[in-house]
This record gives sequence, structure tokens and C-alpha cells, in this order.
Amino acid sequence: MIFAHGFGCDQNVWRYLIKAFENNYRIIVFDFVGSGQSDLSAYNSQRYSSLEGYASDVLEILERLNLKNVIFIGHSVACMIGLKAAVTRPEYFQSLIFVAPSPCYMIDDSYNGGMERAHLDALFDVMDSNYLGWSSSMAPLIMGNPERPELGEELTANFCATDPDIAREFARVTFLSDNRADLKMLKTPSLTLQCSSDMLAPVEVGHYIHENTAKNTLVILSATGHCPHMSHPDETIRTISSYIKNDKF
Amino acid sequence: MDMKANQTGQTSDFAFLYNNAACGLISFDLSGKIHEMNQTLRRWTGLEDSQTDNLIFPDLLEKGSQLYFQLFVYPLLKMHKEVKEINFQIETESESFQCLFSAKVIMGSGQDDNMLVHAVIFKVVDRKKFEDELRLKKKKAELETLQKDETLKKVASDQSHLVRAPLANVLGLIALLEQTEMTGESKELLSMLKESANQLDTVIRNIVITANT
Repeated sequence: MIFAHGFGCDQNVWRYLIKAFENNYRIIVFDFVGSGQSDLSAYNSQRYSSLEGYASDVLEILERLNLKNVIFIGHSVACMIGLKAAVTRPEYFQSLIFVAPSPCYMIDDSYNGGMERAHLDALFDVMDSNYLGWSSSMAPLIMGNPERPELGEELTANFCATDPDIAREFARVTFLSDNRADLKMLKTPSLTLQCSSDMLAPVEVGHYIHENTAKNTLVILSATGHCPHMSHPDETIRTISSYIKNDKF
Repeated sequence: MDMKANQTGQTSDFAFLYNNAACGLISFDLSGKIHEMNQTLRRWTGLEDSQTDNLIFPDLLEKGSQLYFQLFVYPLLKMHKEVKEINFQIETESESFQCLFSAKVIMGSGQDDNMLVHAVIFKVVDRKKFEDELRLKKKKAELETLQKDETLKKVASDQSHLVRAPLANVLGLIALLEQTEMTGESKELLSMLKESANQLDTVIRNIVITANT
């Protein structure tokens, strides 16, 4: 099982789910470049100017660890990253689990993605005035200093720290890209977990994914918000477990 | 507000301090439901007691701040139990202002569902102006650097092309001269001329390479 965090935090968000699955599965967690304790020097604007760059990273992890029959669990933008990876190299994946996914966050004439351009610009503006837990003096720490364990304490204080420049670019790639065309290319079975009230992805988005993706199961959770894996872990775990058990891949 | 104190006088002192603090104080649970809010924050937001009964905390925020709360702040509150100095825009029907938001999540009776977020809200109107000014200056400086780079590249590239054309002629003419009959002294002078022209050529090539990297 590989867990891919969404935009805004890092692998810490999976704590509850990992606890639930670690006895029966081999668990892989990672931080996307620019998030958490990833190696910031690996960032390259060109490579990460579309979700494909992030999808290649997922495939590199699977390849390096020589994994097969992977259950990919992604949150938010990571769902589309996982989907792109599975379209490119389906042989790695057993199934994909989408937690609060959206192939396109913007509203257009025939599709309710949930957000107007003005809302996103407002978000980008708030992001620019919040360098959350990050300062340039911290960058060398985040880049890893195994020989200096005393820095670990500061890193804990840096929970979910995101490099502001990378976050700015990642936000634009996340929220301004339209990945709806990719849905039809997915052959791997998938489960969509949509929250009943999520300002980032309305319920219609869940139905859209379900209608446009082969072998997709849709579950509307009673959980509200954008992070059911944190806010309602029990319901999320239950739904994922029953899908894994009941579906014949 | 649960303020148990031995002396009644003390309780009312605490309540007075709570309500009239120089900052906004608010408690809400992780679903956002507002439990308590001091008078200072009520005054700033223009919200009466009865109006907050059906509100969740993100309702007090402008849309961009709401999204930011969902994406960045909620995970921190839930998993890390603390956030510091988040800049939000508070926006209610009658009021709108920039604030700094710091919060700690306090466990209730040990159950996850009973966790309460205790937050402090500072108005940062003047500081925000100062900060906006800095951001503006930074943006301007970045843009200027970018433009300077572009201009420099263009100048280097244009000028080197302009200089290289006549230099190519000079080198060509030297090659022709070399094939003519010449005295020893002329030959020596020509050789020195050729060397200088080649040096100049190398220098210009390097400028072009540097400008394009």
C-alpha cells in the first residue's frame, strides 16, 4: 500500500490509516518534493510544471522498491497523480483509492468543479502571506542532516512545512490543471471516496469521476470537509477495507 | 465559559478579562462549531451572541482564507494540535479585517471528538500595510532583476553579432593578405595582427556564451 499526501501537508496526515493497515500490508509513505522533509534540491520547475512529473516520481518509487500489486491511496491532488501513474504503467497497480479527488477544480459551463478563478486567486494570495513554518534559514535543515540528530527537534516543529516557492507552483499545477481527459484512460479498478460537504470538491465531482472512469466504485461518505482520512478516520478505514476485501481484481 | 474559581470575585475578574482582552478569543471544535467567543471578537466581527450559534469558524473567513484553512490549517490543528501566526482575512456581513491566528488544540475528556481549538486573533491592520509594502517591493525587485537579465542578454547577443561581422571581415582579409608577397617585417606585423584579431574573436564568443547561459 502506498500513501500519497495531498497539497498542503505531508505524510503525517496518514497516521490513522497507517495504524489501521500496517499489520496486513507493507506500507510505503513519502513526501512529494517541496513538502515535508523532501530534498528541495530535487525540485525543478520544468519537471513539476504538470502532474506528470509527480506521477513519474511515484513510478520511480514503485520501480526502485520493485513493487507489484500496489494499492495506491491518494488524497486530493495525489489521486490524479496516482491515476496518471497507473495509466502510464498499469502493471504496478492492483487498485487505486481516491480520497476527496477532483480531476478539475474549476467550474465551467457543463462541469461544477467547485471553484471560480477568483477564489483560487484569493487562495494564492493568502498562501503568499503565509510562509507556514518555513524560512530560508530552515531550508538546509529540511534538506536532511543525518549527522546532526539535534536538528530533529526543529524538524518536528516544522510539521507540514512547505517551501513557499515550490508550494506556489504546486498550487497552480494542482488547481489550474484540467485532468478530466485522463479518467477515460484508466483501466485499473478504483474507489472514489467523496465527502458529503467539501468546499474543494462538491459531490458532483464524485459522480463525474464515477461516470467517466471504468471500473470505478463511488462511495459518498457522511464525513464532511476535505480530509476524511483525518476528520473521520473510522469511516474512511471501514470503507477502504470493505472495498479491498469485496472487490475481485 | 467554564470558569470555576474559589471566589466569585475572581471568576468575574477572569470573565471580564476574557471578554475585554486586547485580542479576539474564540473556541471551536474540530468540525468548526463555535463554542465560545469573547466580546472583543464579537465587536470586531459585528456578530451578536445568537448569530454564532449556527456558524462554523471558517464561516468567519473570506473565501481564500477558508480554502487555506481547509488545505493547511486544518491538518495542522488535527495532527499537530497547534498553529502559529496564520494570516487570515476575517470577513463577516458588516466587517472585514486582516488578522493573525494562533491556536492550540486542547483535549477534552480524552476523546478525539472532544477536542477544542482555543484560538487567539490579533488585528494586524497596520502591520499588514507594512508587510504588503515589503511584498510589493520584493515583487518589484524580482521583476526588475528578471528584466535586467533579459536586457543584458539581448544587449550582449545583439552587440556581439554587430561586432563579430566586421571582425569576420578583418580575419578574412588577413587570410587574403597572407597569400600575397610580403617582406619579413610585414609578415611579422600581419602575424601579430592576426593573433590580436583571434583573441578579440575568442573574447566575443565568450560573451555570447555567458549571455546565453
